[in-house]
Amino acid sequence: MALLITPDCINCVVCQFECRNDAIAQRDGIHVIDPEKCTECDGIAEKPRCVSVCAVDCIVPDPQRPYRGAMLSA
Amino acid sequence: MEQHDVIIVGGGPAGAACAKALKDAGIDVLILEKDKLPRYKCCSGVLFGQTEELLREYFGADAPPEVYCSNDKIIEAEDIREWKKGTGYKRFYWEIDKDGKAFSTHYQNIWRNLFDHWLVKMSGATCREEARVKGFTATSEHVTVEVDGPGVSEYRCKYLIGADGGPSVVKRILKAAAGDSGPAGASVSIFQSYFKLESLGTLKKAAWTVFFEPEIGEMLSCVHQKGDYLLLCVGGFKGRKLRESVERFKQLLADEFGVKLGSWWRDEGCQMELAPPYLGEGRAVLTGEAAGYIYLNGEGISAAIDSGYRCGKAVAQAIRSGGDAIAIFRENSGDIDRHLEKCLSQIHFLSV
Repeated sequence: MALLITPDCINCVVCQFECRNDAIAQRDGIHVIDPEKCTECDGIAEKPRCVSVCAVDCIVPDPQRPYRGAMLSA
Repeated sequence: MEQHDVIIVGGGPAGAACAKALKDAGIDVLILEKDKLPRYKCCSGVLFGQTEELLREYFGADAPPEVYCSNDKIIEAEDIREWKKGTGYKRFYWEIDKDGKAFSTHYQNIWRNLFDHWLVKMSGATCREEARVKGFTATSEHVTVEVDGPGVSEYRCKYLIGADGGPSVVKRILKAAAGDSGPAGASVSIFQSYFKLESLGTLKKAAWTVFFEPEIGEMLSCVHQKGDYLLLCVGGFKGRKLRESVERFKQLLADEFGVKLGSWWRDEGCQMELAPPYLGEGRAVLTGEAAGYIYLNGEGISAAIDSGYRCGKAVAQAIRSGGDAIAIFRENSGDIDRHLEKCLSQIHFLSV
């Protein structure tokens, strides 16, 4: 259960500030999500907070770690 | 625990101008900057006439030679033009009169990393770098600030000022405390890439060219030279894939002007929230872009310096003579609010 940031990321940093789990960091020109820390905001928001604020819609369910992500993409 | 009269979060132009006003009033102030200075910022790096005047008024100085881009220090207003296929060029008015006053028509092309660093030094305040604010608690008497990074981890101050830009930590904490969880309003995103310049083709040197191409983005796109690089800037509404926009923009510049670009150097992105000014609560005050002070043409430096300085003056007055710092700040910033409204109604920045 985790989300993934695609190479469309423009590094605007907003998702990093929005994350309550400290799961997002800047690396190699884009932001990355630590799948061990990401909870997809389960229980704290309707929709993952980073997805709500992402400007370029580049945060998607991690296919390696499906669960709530399967519902999001449905 | 370290104590100061005022702690400013953010070492950009708003924080530096705020610190200058407080130092001018003899107030003890510390700036906390999250990064190591100098640091890059998502910005065209052009000082408009209004900024030049504010620097003289508040700092008694002009930007020094070392902060300018080397090849094209000045862009004349007449060389800021929009271009459209078929009809060619026409003047583009980036800066508009404020309170009936017109500004210089020489636009100064600078490096934001060097300019911001210079401005912090000019403030005379101590700036602690690599200090990230994690949280704060405010009472009616003081604010306790929790900080991550090497050194002191807790501060106490009479006023905390959030001059920490669009994604302001101080603003977010204030809004969360008020039960407001989401982003306040609509936002636009900006993305820009620097490429080594091989040939300008038929683009004019020391010019700034603006495009309104809905295929590239909902916001205007623009291009200008910075030193040995060409800077391509695009913008759009939520969902626009701005990296693809840059590729389309590169193609347009190659096809229509014969621009030749070399290797990619760097890119920068940010979001600009379109919301009315919010100046904070009690002893936690916001200024600059954190407060919503950014003119809608995307010009934030003059709004940051102007609102930052007045915020500092208001807080100094509240400390010296009592009163509500935010109310004083609001009362002293009516002209900035009016200019925000004027920019919103007059500036042409959308392509759709």
